Amino acid sequence: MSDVIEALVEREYAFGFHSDLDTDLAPKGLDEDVVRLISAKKGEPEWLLEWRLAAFCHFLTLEEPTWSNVHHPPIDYQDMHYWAAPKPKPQLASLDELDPEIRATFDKLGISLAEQERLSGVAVDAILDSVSVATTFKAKLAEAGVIFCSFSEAVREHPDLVRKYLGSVVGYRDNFFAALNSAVFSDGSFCFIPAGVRCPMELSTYFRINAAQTGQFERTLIVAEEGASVSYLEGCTAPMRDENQLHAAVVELIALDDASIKYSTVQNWYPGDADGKGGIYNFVTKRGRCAGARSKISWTQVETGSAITWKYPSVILQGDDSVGEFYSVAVTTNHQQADTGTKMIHIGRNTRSTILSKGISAGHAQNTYRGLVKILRSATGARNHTRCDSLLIGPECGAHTFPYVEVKNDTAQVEHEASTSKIGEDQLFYCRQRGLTEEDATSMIVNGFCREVFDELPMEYAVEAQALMRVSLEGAVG
Amino acid sequence: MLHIANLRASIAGKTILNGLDLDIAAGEVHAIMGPNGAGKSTLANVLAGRDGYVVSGEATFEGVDLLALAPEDRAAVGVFLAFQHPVEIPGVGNMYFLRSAVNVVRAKRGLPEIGAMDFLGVAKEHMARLEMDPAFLSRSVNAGFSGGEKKRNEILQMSMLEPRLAILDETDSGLDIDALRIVAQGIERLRSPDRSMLIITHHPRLLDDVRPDYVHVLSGGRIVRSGDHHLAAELEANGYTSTLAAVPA
Amino acid sequence: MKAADGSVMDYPSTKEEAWRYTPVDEIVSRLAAAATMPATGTSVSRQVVDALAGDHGGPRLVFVNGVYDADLSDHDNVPAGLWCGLADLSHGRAAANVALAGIDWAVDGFLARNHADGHDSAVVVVDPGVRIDVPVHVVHVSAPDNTGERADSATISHPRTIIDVGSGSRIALIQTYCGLDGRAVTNASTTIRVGRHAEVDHCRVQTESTAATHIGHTRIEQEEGSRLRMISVTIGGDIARNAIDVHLHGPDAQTELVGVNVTTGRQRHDTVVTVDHAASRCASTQRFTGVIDDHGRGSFSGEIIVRPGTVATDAHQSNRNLVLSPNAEADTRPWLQILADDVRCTHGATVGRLDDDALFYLRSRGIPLDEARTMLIGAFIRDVTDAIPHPSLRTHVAAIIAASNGMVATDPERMR
Repeated sequence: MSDVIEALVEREYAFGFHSDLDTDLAPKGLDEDVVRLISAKKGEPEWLLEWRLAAFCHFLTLEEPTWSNVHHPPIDYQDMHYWAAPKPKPQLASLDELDPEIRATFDKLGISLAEQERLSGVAVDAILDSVSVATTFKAKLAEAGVIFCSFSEAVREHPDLVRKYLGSVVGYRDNFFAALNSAVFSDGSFCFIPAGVRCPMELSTYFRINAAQTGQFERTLIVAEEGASVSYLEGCTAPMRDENQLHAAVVELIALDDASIKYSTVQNWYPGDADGKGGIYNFVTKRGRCAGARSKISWTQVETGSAITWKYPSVILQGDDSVGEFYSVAVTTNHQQADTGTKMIHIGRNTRSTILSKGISAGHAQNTYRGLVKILRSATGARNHTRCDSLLIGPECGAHTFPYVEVKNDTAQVEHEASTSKIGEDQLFYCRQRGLTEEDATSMIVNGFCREVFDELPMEYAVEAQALMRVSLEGAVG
Repeated sequence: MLHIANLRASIAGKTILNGLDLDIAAGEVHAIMGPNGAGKSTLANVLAGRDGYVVSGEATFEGVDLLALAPEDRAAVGVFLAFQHPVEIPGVGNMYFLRSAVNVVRAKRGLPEIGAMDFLGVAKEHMARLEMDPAFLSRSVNAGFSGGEKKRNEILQMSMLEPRLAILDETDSGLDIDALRIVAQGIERLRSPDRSMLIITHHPRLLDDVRPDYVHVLSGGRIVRSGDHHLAAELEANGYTSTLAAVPA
Repeated sequence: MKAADGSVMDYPSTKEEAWRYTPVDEIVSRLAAAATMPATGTSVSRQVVDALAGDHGGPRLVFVNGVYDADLSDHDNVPAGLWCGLADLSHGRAAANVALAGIDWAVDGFLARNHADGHDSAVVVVDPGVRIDVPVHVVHVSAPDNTGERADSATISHPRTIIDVGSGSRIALIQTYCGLDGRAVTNASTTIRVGRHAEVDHCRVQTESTAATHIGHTRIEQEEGSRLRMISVTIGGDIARNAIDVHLHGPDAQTELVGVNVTTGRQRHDTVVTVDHAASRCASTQRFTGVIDDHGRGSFSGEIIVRPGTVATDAHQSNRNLVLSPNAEADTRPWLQILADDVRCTHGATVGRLDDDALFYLRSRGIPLDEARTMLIGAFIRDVTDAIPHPSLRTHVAAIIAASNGMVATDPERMR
């Protein structure tokens, strides 16, 4: 068994390169001037600057939360840059004008922007150090009435939409990191699907951290109007660095009547080295509001990266008969820590939610599921089913399951089940008796353990996620 | 082919196999019978390399020291164990699992990988003979299978992996008459001059359909009596207690 | 509040996870307003104790408002090898044991006050290698006097029970917290040490008045190979908290915790259970059930902790809640903290109402609605009531549950 643990622990990070880009950096530190500088750099309207400043004032009154089951040295919020952009930042007429170095970066990541446009039929917004550098397929999406662009562009081109929905699900008062993000967010993706439109292709944002000592604060806003539907995927990687980098993004989803949003994440930020040095602190606020009747929001996440992951993609089930889903795989190895889960807040009648969480912990890692299912008095006929399974590989790791269920309506039906066990000796022996190596057997069993979550990913990403799992878990196999 | 000498095995300080000797030549089918707790399943597990036993003595397969090999390496040299309780592996597709195993074993034998389509064709042929619904290929390994389905799945795997030494651990237990016939035919089909079999059972029924060359009675961790298939009939007629009592131990 | 070592100990706040669902502020203010009653002059008679707590054979220690009452107690027929009485009686083992239990484990202000202000402590000591066939019954009756000059203050008591079961011994214990009508505050603590290979069957029944406040804490220390089964029944109290902390110090220990809360009116019942696996090869199960009606709120917080370095842990936890009225609330918080890999842990929680199909099925067979409901509620909590090993207590509890829940009283013996 110990060989396998070693193999797991010695996994290598394939995306750890750094690209040599000329970067426009704001000075280190955070004060009102930095907030104004960011807003000015982006040529923002007055109302947005005011919103940022209000968020900043509120942020100053807050203390960093300590309730989660993760441990890290204090973060010095004055010792990082709050603005980093590859320069010059051109207004691109076409992808051909994209800085070849940036294009090479995304090619290396397997996100060939041009190829993507020609072949795969997935619209990609590429974000480098929190600044959108390229968005593909815009013309084709525009034909369908779909807006898919960088957040900055949305502020310029669709200010009314942004103003209407920004902060409507995650207000800047929500929490410490949401307040920080609201004050200093640099860019992100904006996506608007008008009433009755089924988005003709998968939308995807690719986040890449490149610059050193830089905090990453994107904001993603997706609005699906009545009867609209969209499937959206984000992927994330970062260079290997010895210091920890903070990533505090906010994602807001709004689904009106009969709308459906499927949001998938394959998160592979740099997790730090085998001794736990370096890696991304991934402190993200993600929330969706099923504002309309019969709307549906589904989160699927495969979390394999980051030194620390701290996120709870949640759904507020406001519309009657709305549906919330959360499917999660969180893999932690070496010294990684993950405290992740969801909140399902049932407000409307006959609202339904499903939570399926699979945690895998190896090495010295700590993996925590934390979830809240809340059925308010108004949520007559609400249903929730939750299952959280944890798999432990090796004696030094930990798995924690912290669910909260709060029911204030007698017609609700809530079920929670969970299990924690080590990887099955019987299963391993059975596979090995059939000729599979211990490593292959482990990988196969773990992939099987996660299968139901992978099945929720769009097809092409399910394959990617399985491959990523294999890399994460097999690491040095061979 | 298989040579076992003075094999001892204990678990948690309790001796289960206590100096067992057995030789199986190529193409022979041996049956091991014995009362509950005699050590039959332990013998199967020890030969396949399950963890947890303290083992001493000798077990070689075509001169290769089996006891020194990892379970997967024993599989590669051709040892196959049909489990008494086949393990459920949720989320892992049966076909994917089987094809991975077949290709790993083929690679170790220097054979080319078998493609998905070819594999599917062969698998379906075998399944038809075992009267298995092809839908089983897309289900998770043994997960939610009935007892009979699991046992048929073991025979399917055995057919596909083409082992040199097949150990069948109570493959007949828990089967109804029809399933028993199908499983027995499956085993009988796999009989060949270069494949040996060790059938562990405590019901002589299976041995009517798969007639062994030799029958051994295991008791107290050793083989206490050997004979041909008539011994099985004698056991069925008289029971273990009186059959064994008639023999000096 | 001061702890035994003199340090100041605060009351907990709802920010602490174990107190999340407990209305601590309300309890603290009630505690502050409550007064100690003089030991004399209560109207508690033997008939009252029999009615409230039952007579289950065996020795019975009765405390009224936290003060030992020898007249109400049955202390004559104590079997050999068993000692029970007051902490301040001069019994060598008892004294040693009190010292043992006095090791400062007060973890919050409530316990610190219990230890500091308690009047009489009940002590039960079983010598090694002794098997006691009759249950030892410790009864705490609160008899508030909310009349006359004390009309404004509730009656407070700080009952403390210390139980020490020697190696290889076996004993059954019954603890009853009951009371007369009126406002009372009971701040109770119990310590149970289960010695090597000892076996304890413990029933804790709380049936205080619906105007009472109850803060209960039971700490269980288990040594190697010991077995403990605890059945807890929470019916009474306006606000009632039942905390159970099990510490498995020795390997191969087994724990089975079973409990029910029947919550009606505006009652708030809070059950908080921690099982700490600090040794290898221990097995624990928690099965808690809540039946919540009217404006009641029932909360369950369960936690399994598996410490690093332990092996072959088997731990299971379940919490099922039946919500019977539109204004009832249920919270459940089943937690796992696993720091070793050789574990088999599961937990499950459900909140739901009576099964309409089952109700219909029963009615279609001619059973009236009320009776059908009663049958189904009875079936829901059967797991708990059936676990009570003493037939007389089983009947006693069933009758109180039936009365409190407006259920048709059904003899559990007949429904089995």
